[in-house]
Amino acid sequence: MTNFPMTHPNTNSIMKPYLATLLVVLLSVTTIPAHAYLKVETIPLPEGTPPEIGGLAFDPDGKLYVATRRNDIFVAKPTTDPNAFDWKLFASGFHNGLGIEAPAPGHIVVSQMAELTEAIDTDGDGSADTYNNLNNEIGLSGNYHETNGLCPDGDGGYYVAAGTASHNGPTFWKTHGKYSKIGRRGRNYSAVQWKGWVMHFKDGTLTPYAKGFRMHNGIFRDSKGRLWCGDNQGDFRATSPLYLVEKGNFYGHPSSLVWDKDFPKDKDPLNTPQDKLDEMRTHATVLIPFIEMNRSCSEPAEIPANFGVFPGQLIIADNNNTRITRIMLDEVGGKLQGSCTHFINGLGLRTGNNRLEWSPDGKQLYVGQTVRGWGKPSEGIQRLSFTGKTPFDVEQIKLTKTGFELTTTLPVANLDQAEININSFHYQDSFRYGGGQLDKKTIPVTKAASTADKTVTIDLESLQAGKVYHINIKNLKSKDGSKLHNENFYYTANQLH
Amino acid sequence: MKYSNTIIALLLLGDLSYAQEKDAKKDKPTSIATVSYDVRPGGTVEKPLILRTYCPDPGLDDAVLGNHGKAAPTPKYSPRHGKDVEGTVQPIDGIPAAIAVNHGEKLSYVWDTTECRLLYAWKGGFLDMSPYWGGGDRGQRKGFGYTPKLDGVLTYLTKGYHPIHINGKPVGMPHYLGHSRKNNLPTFRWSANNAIISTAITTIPESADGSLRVEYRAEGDATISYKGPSGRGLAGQAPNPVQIEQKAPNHLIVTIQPDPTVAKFSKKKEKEFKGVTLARGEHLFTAYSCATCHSLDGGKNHGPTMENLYGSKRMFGDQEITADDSYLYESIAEPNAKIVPGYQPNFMPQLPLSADEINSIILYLRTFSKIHD
Repeated sequence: MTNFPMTHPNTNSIMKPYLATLLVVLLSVTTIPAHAYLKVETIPLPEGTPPEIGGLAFDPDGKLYVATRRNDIFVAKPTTDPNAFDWKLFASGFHNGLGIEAPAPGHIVVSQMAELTEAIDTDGDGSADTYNNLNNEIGLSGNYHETNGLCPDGDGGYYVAAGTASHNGPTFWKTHGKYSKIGRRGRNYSAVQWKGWVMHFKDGTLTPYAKGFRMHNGIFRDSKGRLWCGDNQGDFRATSPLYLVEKGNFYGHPSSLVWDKDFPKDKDPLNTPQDKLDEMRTHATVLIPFIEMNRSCSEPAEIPANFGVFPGQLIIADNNNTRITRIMLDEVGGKLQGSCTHFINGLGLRTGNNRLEWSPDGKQLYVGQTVRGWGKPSEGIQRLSFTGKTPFDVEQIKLTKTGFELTTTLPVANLDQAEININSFHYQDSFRYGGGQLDKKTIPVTKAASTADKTVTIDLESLQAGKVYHINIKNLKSKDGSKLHNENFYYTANQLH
Repeated sequence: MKYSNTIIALLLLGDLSYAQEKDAKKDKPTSIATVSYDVRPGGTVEKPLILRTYCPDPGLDDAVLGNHGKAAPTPKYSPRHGKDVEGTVQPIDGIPAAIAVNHGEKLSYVWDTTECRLLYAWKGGFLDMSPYWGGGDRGQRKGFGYTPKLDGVLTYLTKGYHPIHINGKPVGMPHYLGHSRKNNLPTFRWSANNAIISTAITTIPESADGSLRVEYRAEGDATISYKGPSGRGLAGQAPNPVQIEQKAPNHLIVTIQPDPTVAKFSKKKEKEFKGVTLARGEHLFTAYSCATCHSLDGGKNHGPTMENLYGSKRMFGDQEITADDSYLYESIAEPNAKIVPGYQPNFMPQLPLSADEINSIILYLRTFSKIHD
């Protein structure tokens, strides 16, 4: 409330009730905006526990396991009252457990810094007594940045996303796993095995799956069996990408290549010219503007069919801001690409959004937050649910031969072509940290019309592959008088029709 | 649930190094957590704290860590220029994949999952996690070298190759299988030489000096025997006195007497700085990883670059401000006081720095500027 001027002592007593009333009005406005379609609740962990959330998982009985980054794993059956969770310690001894799955009640699998660990409560007393090293073939150099994400493969195995190290931290003299002097070079590096890779673990065996990642903090397999991860803007990442992870593909960050059996031995991957890297790499399915949409992509998730809005769409959390990005996939020329906008931006959501996990009934989204090492601490668990009030928003964007076709959630009332503005730009990855929106151009809209109840068709003067199209829509209203919830959308046109 | 409030209360009161932190605990009763905001966590004899973290290396020899990879100094790299620049970055001491266990004041030890052996033990405290966890609720690593510090007195430091032989042969390429926590005592399981071995470490309750009891068992008909330390570079380093009890061909108990002098072999202490000096500024800039957000070479990042910052002019609204000593002092002491246009507030932490430390950092920042008044 720093905006309130200091009141003079004499007027203080008179002003107090007025200020209190004003405060209540302001708070009620800022915490539950009229247009809010999502409710945000905060769920405390036991008092005194640093709630730095590394991972969240529901077991088949609907119990929620929470991995905290310092050591401990808590479990509770969720309650309607966000303050009534009866947390118990389930397991401990996890160094930065940033991936957790619970394949059975009393049985968790955690990807921590040094290993993929299984912890089981064999005597049924509510806490794990048996800890098995499932695999420790992913090395650990001693760098703080080498965290591992985890998701099931749908067939009893797991995918592990092994992040690279940062040049802002050292390695130890002695590393777990073999050390590569070449791999140690550069900004984000791969001095030990499988940093910058997605690995597949099944039946006790760890195999390389895909490479070329920087910091793919969070990995997710959707209901169609497709594997997704984000990555973090930085070296060889001009902005935040969303990747469809496919076997054998290379995703553009060279350091991981040092562990690729097909990459020439003793060759420094950092010396690969950028145009060669561009040729080798698989494009991001969606490029997510860094400042405007998502500063630090973490875990993706899929909106369940019965959540109430945007069924089946992907979302991806922003670890650096109070928002989660919504992805609208489109298939062009047999390949997926698509667009993004905010799923939630503010509304009481904190920053530090690291992990996303839906409740078993698909009605609530649990968000695990931690920002250790980044800015002001923002830690804990929040829970999002649908208020039942469908927002007037763009639900889908499809590329057409001449522009875009937008589907809205509610019927469109008015459409003024002058209120639709489209820019195009592109990104260029490089060894430098991040990258700007290059060659930014206004693309004239030749025609824009509401062609059906919930459809807006936009024709452009030109379309070009390899561009990101920024679609800005102002003053659009639905037939029931709602304002458009999001005004900015970014479509990644890797391919044209 | 065996984590009853009573046990947890015992756990929390079991091993606190500072009275001040004891008071903090009273104010914040914790019903479940084994780890709190306390950067000196701990357990008790009955209820150990089993902590997986980067662990300190108090001076282990190369033969002990023979199954680890060997790192090397690496050239400094400029992300802006995409190439190596003058200078090297040295690796630091630390054990990446170990498990640290605390049974209260009498026993702390580090068992390593890479070497599958007890590396060292100490008493009087556990780990000071502040370099890694930061202070209080900041939850932020403090600097470039972020391994926790040993709290207490080192009483045992293993030396040379693995001290036991399996099936008559030295341990080759051990593999960590996991551990069990029956009766809250961690028993580590590992394999080597086609045998499965378990190791449990305890103190001997009746021994006043806090002797260590290391019990090995081999599964099936594998045999184990104690060979003691061997390997290069052990001259002049007397091993801790041990007692061997061969209970059966597959069952061995090694009792290790503490030797407080092992600490003298541990590595050098951190350098201490005084006053306002360039060296102190450089040390702090590195220690707090300022370059994470502030490049030194003009490269763009979360915060403004330090290249040609000192003496430069910048606009805040319609006010032009020179980045001089007082501007930089304010920006370090109160990071949100002035946010350079194009950058975000709340990114930079308010660091616990003294005036001398801030002035030392300013001296260091001046070296990146070619702008003169």
